Amino acid sequence: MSDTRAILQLENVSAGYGKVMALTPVSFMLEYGSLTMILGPNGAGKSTLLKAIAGLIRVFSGRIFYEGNDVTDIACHQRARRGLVLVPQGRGMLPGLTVAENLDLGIALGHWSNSGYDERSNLDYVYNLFPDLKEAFHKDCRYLSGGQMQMLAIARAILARPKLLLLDEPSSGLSPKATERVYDALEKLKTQGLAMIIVEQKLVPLKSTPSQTIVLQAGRVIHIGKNEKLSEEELASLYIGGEQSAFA
Amino acid sequence: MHLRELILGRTRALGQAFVLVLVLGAIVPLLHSSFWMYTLGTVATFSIAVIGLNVITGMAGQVSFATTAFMDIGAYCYAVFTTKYHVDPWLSLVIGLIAAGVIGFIVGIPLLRLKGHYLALGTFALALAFEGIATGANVVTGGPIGLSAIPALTVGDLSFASTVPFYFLAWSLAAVCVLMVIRLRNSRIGRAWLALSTREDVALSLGINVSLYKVLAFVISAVLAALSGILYVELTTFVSPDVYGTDFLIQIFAMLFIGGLATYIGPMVGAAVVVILPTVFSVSQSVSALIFELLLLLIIVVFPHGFGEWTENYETLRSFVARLRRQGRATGLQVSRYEKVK
Repeated sequence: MSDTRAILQLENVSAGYGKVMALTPVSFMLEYGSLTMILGPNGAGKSTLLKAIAGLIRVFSGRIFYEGNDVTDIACHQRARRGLVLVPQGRGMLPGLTVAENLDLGIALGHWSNSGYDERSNLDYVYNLFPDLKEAFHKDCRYLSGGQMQMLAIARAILARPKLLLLDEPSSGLSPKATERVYDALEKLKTQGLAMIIVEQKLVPLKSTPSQTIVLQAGRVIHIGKNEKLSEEELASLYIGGEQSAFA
Repeated sequence: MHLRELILGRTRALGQAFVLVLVLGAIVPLLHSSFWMYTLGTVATFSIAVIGLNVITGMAGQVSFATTAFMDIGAYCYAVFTTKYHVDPWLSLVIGLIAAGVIGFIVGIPLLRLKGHYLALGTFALALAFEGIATGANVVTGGPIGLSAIPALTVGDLSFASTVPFYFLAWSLAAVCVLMVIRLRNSRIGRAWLALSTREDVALSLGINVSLYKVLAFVISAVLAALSGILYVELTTFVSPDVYGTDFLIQIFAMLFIGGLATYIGPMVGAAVVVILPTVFSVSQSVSALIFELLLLLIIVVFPHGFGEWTENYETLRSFVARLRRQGRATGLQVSRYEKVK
């Protein structure tokens, strides 16, 4: 049964590739407008979890509820059209397309997802959030910096007016300054009530406290904490020795 | 500047390329050579099939060997309806195109669930299957001998079986196909194709119904292949299973790669190279084939992305010239040129 406060609820969801299980059964709930951080080292199953939520891979077991509806068997593109949008790992740039054309893909999704979608006001909103993109409007996206590419990937998703944004390692390959700029924008989105799940390998410069922090290792959840900010030491000892060693 | 204006601006630039094709196409009749008009009419005819192949393989990123199957479908529909049922040629043409589109849709749904090598194999099997049907269904298709004396398209007293009217018909249709592809590529459909050919997960997460867009590309490719097949029947008044066999499939792919994947004028350039080169070097059949194949090899090595990229991307041309200059400097060519001027 799904919780009415929950925008997303996972019940014993396990997933993997082929016959290999990369994620053992996991259950958690995410409220409207809340932020969940999922942390874990390489191969922990973080991206697998996001892909399962987004519908890019089939789950082995369990159910996924989005806005109270069971979406476990619903295709990825249909979940996106309902407002469950993933920003995949590696920024998902489409070489050969300009910044404008990339943004237009987000606008198309916005039209599919929302009746009476206002293209102009949504574009203005994105430009306020990422002024760099306005300047690089007609540039081929392959010539953008890493930070700009990440901004474009997020902007493309934001243009669709999502209700839940899934971000797979948005700081990957970015300089500390670029990471800070990306996270500043994400903080703004959070204050405006957008629910988010952010997957990262390491701690990131997040000013606010996440509603929920989930730590994964070797495909299983080793820690779930509410309204807490893990320190580097706590995260390191979780990675090394699991829940008990970190909070002994 | 508004988003649409920028995208339209790019479309306008590509529209200029389209006008260039029209102009080049219109100049040639001034040569008053029926041989060249026939040859260039053939170029236009084949380039339509290559444009279709470019949509599914170059733009949507799905390797398809089914082009010759749909050329067969178009050609045989046209030939059978005109010769056996005496249906009006124009109506037969429309029936051929619709048949290719419908079969493309029905076959495309299960076939395009396959990926990579499996899709390539599946579409190759389709091409072989239609070749087999054309050979085996004697009563309808005429078997290995095929069908001949196929009536031509006419408008009043004007028959498109004649070289000059055919030349104009083929080039007009090729130009329309180029224009259509330019419009499609710069629309949301084209961007969706690019997304699914680059990263399917990104396309899906952007709400793009990947299966639908793949099938759409396959159907467009099928219809264009059928049109090309019908036009070639128009030119030769004949169709047999050998015409669109495996050899021809290889040639169609050579046209695509020589022209350049995902380019607009590339299919015409590729078709021109593959059709014209053997006629230019037709000393004897074996020598001609050898020279042609060596030239193909040379072209692919020197221009791995095809000629089309050069005709449409000024940056590529500029960087190539810059690279030549750098190499020239390194090998002392620059010095010798300077001395020559002196």
